[in-house]
Amino acid sequence: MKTRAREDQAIIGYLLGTASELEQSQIETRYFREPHFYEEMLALEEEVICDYLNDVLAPAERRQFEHHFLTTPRRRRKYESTRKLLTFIADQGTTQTTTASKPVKPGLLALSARRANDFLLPRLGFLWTLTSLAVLSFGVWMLSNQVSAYRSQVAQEEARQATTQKLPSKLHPKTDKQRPEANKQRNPLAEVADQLQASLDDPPALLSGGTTKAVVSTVVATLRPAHLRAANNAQPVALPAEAATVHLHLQLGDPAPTQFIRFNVVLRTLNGIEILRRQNLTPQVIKSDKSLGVDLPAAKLPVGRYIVIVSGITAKMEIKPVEEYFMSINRE
Amino acid sequence: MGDALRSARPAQKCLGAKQAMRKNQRVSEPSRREKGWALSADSFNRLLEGLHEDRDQAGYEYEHLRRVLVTFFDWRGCAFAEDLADETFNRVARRMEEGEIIRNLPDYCYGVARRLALEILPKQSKQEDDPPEFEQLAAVEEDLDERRSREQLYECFEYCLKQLSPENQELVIQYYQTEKRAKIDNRIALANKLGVSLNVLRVRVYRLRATLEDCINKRLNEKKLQEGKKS
Repeated sequence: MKTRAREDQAIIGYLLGTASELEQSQIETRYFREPHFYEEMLALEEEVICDYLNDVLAPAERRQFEHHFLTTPRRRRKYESTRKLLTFIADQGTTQTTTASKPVKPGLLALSARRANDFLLPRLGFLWTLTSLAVLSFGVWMLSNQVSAYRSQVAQEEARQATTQKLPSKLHPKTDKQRPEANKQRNPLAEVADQLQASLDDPPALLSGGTTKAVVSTVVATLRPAHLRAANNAQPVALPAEAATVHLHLQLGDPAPTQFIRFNVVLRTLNGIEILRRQNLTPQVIKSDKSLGVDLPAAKLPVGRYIVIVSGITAKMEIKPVEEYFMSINRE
Repeated sequence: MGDALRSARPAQKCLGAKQAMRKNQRVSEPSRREKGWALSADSFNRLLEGLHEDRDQAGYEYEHLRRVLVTFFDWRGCAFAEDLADETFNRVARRMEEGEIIRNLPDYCYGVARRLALEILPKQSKQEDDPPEFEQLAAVEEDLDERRSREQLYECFEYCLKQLSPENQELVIQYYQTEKRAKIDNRIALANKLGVSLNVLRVRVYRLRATLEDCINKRLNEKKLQEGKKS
């Protein structure tokens, strides 16, 4: 949530209908007298709309926005035009990032080197192949030598351990003292193994309930599509009190739809109250799994049941329903 | 789209007194509230003289004051803000005709408008039906025509954005970028980067957006005309 200057706060209170009569008349007198202040008010009005669309308004401001601000046609028109502008700007931002990451044109030197390379490579191809083969064979020979050396070391170590186990038990107190000496002679591989074992044996402070407390800021909720609109289809999501963000990981069915280039996501309560709307989302593809990721503040998800509706946009810009997900939020 | 946005542009051409006169004659019929009195050419001239000695400048002032009045009624939550703005002018012109000496016309107009809003609002809230639920407004499904017009709008957005200078294009895009807003206040960072206050930045972007919207509307009208010719 953002913090604002006191004057901005007063103006926003005025725009959202929470200012007192005195505050109202102070602000109104000023904008009737000062054209510049009037322009500032209009700019701030637009910023409030942006803040609402960006989920930056405080819950009380958000309520006022929905129940007071959007009651007049002029402000609804302004809201719609700002929403369209923001969607467009978001697209522009993505396009700019893409163009910025285009490969840089090579300089003259690099270009000459590439041309020389292009010229030489086909003619010296045979020689290159021979050299590569020779280097490869040498590498394989070196590697096999190393492996056999390690193998013999491990075999010696095993033989030594076997003799130690056969010693009588009365010698054991001595072996405790001798252990550091023996450790020095041990194989470095065995030391690494010991360290690994030690790290597995000692539980980390985070899990052992020590003084360091685990801070969960983002909770990832993986949701699978529900094919029936039944209450028992709601997937439970437990939110810890300290969670700040919820990342909804929406799996796009099996088989994943291929005809859509982008997706829209709407999150609603089961009573139909819209919590979130994201448009033009690009799916993540990992191997054959397609999914969508949406972040939202955990504060926007009180305990209850929710439905997530995903629609897809085809290359012909047709919007079609894709999947529905049900989740039930519990607080820990 | 965004009447107030367009109308508030500082570089807007002055409507001129004649045009302003023509515009106000639409409301010269006796109003519901002040029956028996109509705005005549003389009373309107007197109103303009009260705003500025120079007639053209007076026309400009009149237009600005009208925009402020419309916004005032809108911010107060009154329905039919434009009609109420004209009604305010009618009432002020009537007082002037009756011989009342007004030193500061914008202040006086504000006083009249405020009384009018206080008169209107209680009646309005009685008549008002329940406002439509917000989620219903937001979740309207698009039909094919709407989608086409949205695509057209996007094309115009793109075209008009390119008409701005590269610095201004970047400024608009950075100002409205949404990703970082939740964590860092992008706008404060941007204002610091440009070495201006947040207010100055806000107004600068607001003006750019107004220019952008003007361009978009013109472009959309052009496209509609072209489509009309084709069909």
